[in-house]
Amino acid sequence: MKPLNIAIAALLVLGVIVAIVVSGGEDDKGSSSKATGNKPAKNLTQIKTVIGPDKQILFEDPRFIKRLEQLGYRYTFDKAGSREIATTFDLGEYDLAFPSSDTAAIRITKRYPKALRTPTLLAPMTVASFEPIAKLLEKQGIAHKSAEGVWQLDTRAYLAAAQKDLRWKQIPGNTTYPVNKSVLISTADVRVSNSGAMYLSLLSYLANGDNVVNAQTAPKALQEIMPLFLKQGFLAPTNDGAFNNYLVQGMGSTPMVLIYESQFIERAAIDKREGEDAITDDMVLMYPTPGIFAQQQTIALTDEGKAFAKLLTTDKRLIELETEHGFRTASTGAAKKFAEKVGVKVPDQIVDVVDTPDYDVLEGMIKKIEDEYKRNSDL
Amino acid sequence: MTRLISFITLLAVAALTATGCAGTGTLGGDTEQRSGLKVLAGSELRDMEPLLGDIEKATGVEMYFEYTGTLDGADAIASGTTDAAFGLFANSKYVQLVAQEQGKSVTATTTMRSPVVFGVKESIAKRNGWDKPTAVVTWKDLADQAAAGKLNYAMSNPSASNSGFSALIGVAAATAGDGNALAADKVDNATLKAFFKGQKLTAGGSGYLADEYLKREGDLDGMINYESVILGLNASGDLDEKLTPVYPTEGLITGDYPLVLVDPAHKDEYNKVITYMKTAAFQKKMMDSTHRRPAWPGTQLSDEFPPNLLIELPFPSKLDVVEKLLFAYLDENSRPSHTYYVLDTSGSMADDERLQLMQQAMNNLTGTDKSGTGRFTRFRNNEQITLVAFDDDVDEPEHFTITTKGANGTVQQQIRDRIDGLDADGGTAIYDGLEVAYEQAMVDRKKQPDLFYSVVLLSDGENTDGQDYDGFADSYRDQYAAAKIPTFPVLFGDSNTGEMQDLAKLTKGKYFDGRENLSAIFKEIRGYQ
Repeated sequence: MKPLNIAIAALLVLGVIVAIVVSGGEDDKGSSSKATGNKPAKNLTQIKTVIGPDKQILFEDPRFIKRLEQLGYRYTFDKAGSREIATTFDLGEYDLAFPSSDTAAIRITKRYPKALRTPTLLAPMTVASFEPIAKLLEKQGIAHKSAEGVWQLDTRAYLAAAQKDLRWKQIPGNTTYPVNKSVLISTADVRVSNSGAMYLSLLSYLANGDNVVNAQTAPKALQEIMPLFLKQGFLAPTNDGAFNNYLVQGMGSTPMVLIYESQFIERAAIDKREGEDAITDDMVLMYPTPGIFAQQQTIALTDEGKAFAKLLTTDKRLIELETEHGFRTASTGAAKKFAEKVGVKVPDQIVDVVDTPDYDVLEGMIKKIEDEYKRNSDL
Repeated sequence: MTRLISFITLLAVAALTATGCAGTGTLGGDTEQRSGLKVLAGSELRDMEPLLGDIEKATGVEMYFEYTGTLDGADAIASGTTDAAFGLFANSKYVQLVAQEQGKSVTATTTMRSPVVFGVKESIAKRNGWDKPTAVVTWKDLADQAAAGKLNYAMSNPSASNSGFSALIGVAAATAGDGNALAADKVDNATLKAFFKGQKLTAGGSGYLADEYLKREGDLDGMINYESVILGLNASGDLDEKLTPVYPTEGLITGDYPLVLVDPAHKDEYNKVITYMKTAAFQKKMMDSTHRRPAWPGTQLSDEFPPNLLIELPFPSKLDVVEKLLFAYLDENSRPSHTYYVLDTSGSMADDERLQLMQQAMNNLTGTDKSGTGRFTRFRNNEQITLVAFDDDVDEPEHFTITTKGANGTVQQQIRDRIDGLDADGGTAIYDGLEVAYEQAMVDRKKQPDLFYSVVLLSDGENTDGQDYDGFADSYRDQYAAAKIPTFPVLFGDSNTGEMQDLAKLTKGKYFDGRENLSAIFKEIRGYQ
């Protein structure tokens, strides 16, 4: 039996707000007080969380809410970019932080040394694209289909092409996408979003002769990859915004976008469940090789948060739901099985991956990119 | 829902009671108390008003719109000088760029989309072969036609409005021969200048531009605006000739209409509204009634949208690129303006600091206003200004040509000296003043026919001397109407509202209410010049 918080009246109000905000995704079906309904709020421990945007749909899932209530918890969540959570966010009022990378998690524990980090979810970084685009990249030797039928993106070849400023219309025989834009992967804003930071980590490794950058080697590596950020122009601050551009505007605006594998699988699952068609037949998921994993850790700041965090990694039903939202968990093999169920081909194994640099080195590179954005241009 | 009674509203109420004006309620601004949350909105979003009821029904959140141009709204939001709860403009990028500079972040969620397109009259599109779905039309093609004098169009002022700015980026990218984010590449100013030769009408907002287009449809070949505005006009039956939307193939810019949370105290209402606006039910209703594209997966694009692959151009990521492009447009590439300021210096202007308010408003335009909107509304390089001061007599028109950028030129100082030297004394001969301005404009226009001509009239009371309104109206119809020079009357003090409105209608201009904030209105009018 979990201890009650003192101000019960306030919590009851909070509970109502959670019901509306968190279950709102299903509003078009009618009633808004779904999963939480009229369950009594007493005996439920209130948990205040802040999460990276890629976990929003999971945290809004009524089944996720319901299972946690059965386990004795009711939560609210705020959404923020991983870098913000790690550096400036005031976590004083929160029980749990759940950014999208381990570097952010490590940084948070530097600010809150008593907090407990728990590895919880795993998502490889992938590139969502389109069949005609993948074929063009194949022509250029930048992508190929593996023996299992999964598209692989040769990250080294991609970087080399991008550094030479290859344009789509320069690819010979290109009748499907004769556009005068550089061949570039779209990312969310590296200054805000973890996925941008993952891209930075991967590219800096390759630009540094296949070595994780440190304080000495980072500046030179960064100079070589800086254009891949700046040429993109104004960026969606968060990853879900970048993915949404891909889904809604398509090839004309976003021929390639860097996302977590989980986002693509999650979206395919929603399509199947709701009879929608967001993932169309010509959309493909490519795996960068070498690639990089986003290790997602929870940071528990209170005792209640610690117990809550533990459930996320031990409760069978919660793990099942995490898998349905595309995440890899401690339950090996479950992710691939589920992906196949919803029609997404994922590789058997992902071994060619690189490590992330130290938090301070990464932060140093991001700050330099920030400065570059602010520097006066020559236009 | 608590109502926010803003300081501005209090001022407005005070101003109205002080002047004894009957307040027709049609004059906009904060003259009425509205209930619900205030949303600063772009002028083309009037078509959303019927949907506010649906949103309220589904979420319990009541909202009302207050319309402004994109830059004015962005400035107010970025500087924290608005009491609005939310903002809804075609893009929030300017707000986000400014916030980034300040190290802040902005909560914004896309709600609907519309690309900026070139709407060309059907007959002209047909003649050029631009109406076929397989047609390949580039910004360069459009620029060539404009330069040759074969494509006269309306486009909103890029420094005030996003649709004009999107077109500016499109043409700049196309002429730079580069589809990437504009950076250090040389922008081809000569081609830009050629393109803007065709811009014959401007306004301070996309919705307002559509209004102005309807007034002058006969003189124009098309309009640059959001696809939704073009499709909406076509469906309305208000056009004499429908417009064919053209999608330039180098790329275009899509407004993604992010709802911005301006006041964090309303975060809960914001979340409710966003959750509802994301639903397929709302997205479909929105698409069908406003002709905008869905912003969220789960809604099929309806048949009225062409199936073309639209190439999206990147928006600049640096604030200074945005500003450089805008200043180049204002000072070098756009058609220069010649503006006639007809200013009342009668005895009543000595009351209530009216003369000082006018002097402040005029001097701000010489570049002393360093705010975001101030910098973009100042008099431009190569612009001509003619001051026509009147009381019971009309002074000799005084002419100035700006020869430098910024506020430090000698000419800008000369204008300030002249304005500061005005004093308030005597009667009011409004229509003689106007006649003098128009006579002068006709002479000037004969020598330089290619400039943007317009008249701004500021008077604080009834006409007491010289000819009356009807006398001027007769002259206008006989001698000046063919030149199509609009008057922008500014309501001020005890203006005869009815006559000012008639004057705007007569000259196909637009009237503005300067009784709350004259400086802001003078800046707003700049978007139309």
